[in-house]
Amino acid sequence: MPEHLVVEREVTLLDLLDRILDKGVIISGDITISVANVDLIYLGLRLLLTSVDNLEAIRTGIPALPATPGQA
Amino acid sequence: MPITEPGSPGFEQHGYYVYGITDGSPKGLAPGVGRGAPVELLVVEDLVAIVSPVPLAAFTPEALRACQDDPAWIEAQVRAHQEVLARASCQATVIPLRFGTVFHDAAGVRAMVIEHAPRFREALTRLAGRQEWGLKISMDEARLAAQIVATCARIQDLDARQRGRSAGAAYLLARQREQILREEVARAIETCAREAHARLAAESVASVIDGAAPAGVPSEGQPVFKCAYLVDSSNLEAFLATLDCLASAYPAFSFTLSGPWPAYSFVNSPVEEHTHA
Repeated sequence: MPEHLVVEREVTLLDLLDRILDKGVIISGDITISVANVDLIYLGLRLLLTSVDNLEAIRTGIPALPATPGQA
Repeated sequence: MPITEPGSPGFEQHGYYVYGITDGSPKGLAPGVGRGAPVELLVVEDLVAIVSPVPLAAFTPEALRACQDDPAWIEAQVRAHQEVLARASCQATVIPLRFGTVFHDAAGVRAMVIEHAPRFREALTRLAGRQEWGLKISMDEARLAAQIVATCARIQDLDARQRGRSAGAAYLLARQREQILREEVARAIETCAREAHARLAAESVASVIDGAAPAGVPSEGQPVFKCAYLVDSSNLEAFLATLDCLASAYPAFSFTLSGPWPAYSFVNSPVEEHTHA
């Protein structure tokens, strides 16, 4: 088993959206009812989640200059 | 729109949600989307659509717009979509369809499968025995900066010159040092991403770099490189060993792998996808 590699077991909604949004075979036309609308919702939701994520990063990043353990 | 038929007051018109297309017969795929809908296989010639009956009313533009305010519902749907495909992918080769593909009826699903049959057959052949893995490289900025300071001659030179200077001169030198450090961080990121990608591409069948990863120096915690690799099962061990080797060669970066995923990134536009010789 790899020692240095992190294998992600828990996937966040944002990661899941990143993987699934804009991906997969697109079938559209009269026989389908909802592909395009779902895209719009997802773009909106993705933006929302990204900004929540960024806010979190900014918030936790503010006490900047984190300690550098064991480094001169 | 829900249709109520005479004599069955609760009757809802159902459509078909399609997760993906396979040429196998995977089992135990439920629960599906909606409220854990049953998952069925709809056989069309040599191809099989993986479907769930869903109330059409839940997928009208109005209903979907209302769901935008309910991330929990959407999350449950996305996870159900992913989990059905993941369960199927363990048992057979599967082509994922775009999330939220809903047809009015079974005839629509059949027509779609027949229309796209050559493309589906080609993709099933290409994807057989192969899986998608997602790689994210992030940096530990403090560690990277410390590593650069310890090895960069330009910075060490500045640090030497800074000693004993007046406050004003020291300030200007500090600004110059920051600038050099930024350049060196950007260079280190590029070197790491370039080498990682070249070596992993050599161990995979195809790759799609996620263009959403920002150029230059990303903010703390944001990945510096994101890429999906299509890896043949027979070469997975070598792929993982290469990745582990990279992770130990670049200790200021963390390499996070997710997968195996259904081949979400390798079923659409071949322009974005880079097939390795």
